[in-house]
Amino acid sequence: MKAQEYAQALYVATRGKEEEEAERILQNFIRILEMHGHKKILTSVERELEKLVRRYGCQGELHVRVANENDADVLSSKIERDIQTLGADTLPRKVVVDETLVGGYELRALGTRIDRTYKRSLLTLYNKLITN
Amino acid sequence: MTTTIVEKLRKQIESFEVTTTPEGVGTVVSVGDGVAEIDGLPNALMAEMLEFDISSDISLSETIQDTERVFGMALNLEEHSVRAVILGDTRNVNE
Repeated sequence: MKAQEYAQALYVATRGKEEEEAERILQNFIRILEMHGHKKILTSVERELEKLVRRYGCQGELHVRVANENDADVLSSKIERDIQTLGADTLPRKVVVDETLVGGYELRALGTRIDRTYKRSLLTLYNKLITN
Repeated sequence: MTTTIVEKLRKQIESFEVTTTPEGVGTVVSVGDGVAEIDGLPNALMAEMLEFDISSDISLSETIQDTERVFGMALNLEEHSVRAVILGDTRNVNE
């Protein structure tokens, strides 16, 4: 629990700071941990800090995953329509090419996913065939 | 016999329709002792069944050959995360 609180404090203190300033804050933070006799939880604090960065760092992004770059162009009108469904049209986009998707696209934003990949369709079909 | 099976499969494939709806997703941040901590899922309900997407980043053939579907049950609902008991092979659930 303490690790979470320390990580939260460190995250807030270093957010948006220049690298040098963040480094200075980090050194002070370690000194404070030592003063309170809590240096042994430094690893836990680091783990909690990683969670916070992951949680808040990607919160305002729209992730578009496509099987190949060509799909992003060919399916652009469908992608745009789904982005509007997600209410994520104003978010900054991050396009990732993932060949394992086979085809189609996957959108992820604001804790919601729309998966229109061929891989998902084929897996659904496969599961349907083996369970019936 | 084989013809009957092939015919049955053909019919199922023909009548297969893909329906895609937006679904809530989270990110597994830690796994241990059969419990997964998942960031996100603000709309998860107590004792709700969750499915872990184990097909992420692996090919379709690998997904079909090597793994089974893995489910979990949401038991701890926290402000930013959910803890779920993994009902299946925990080795397939990764951070």
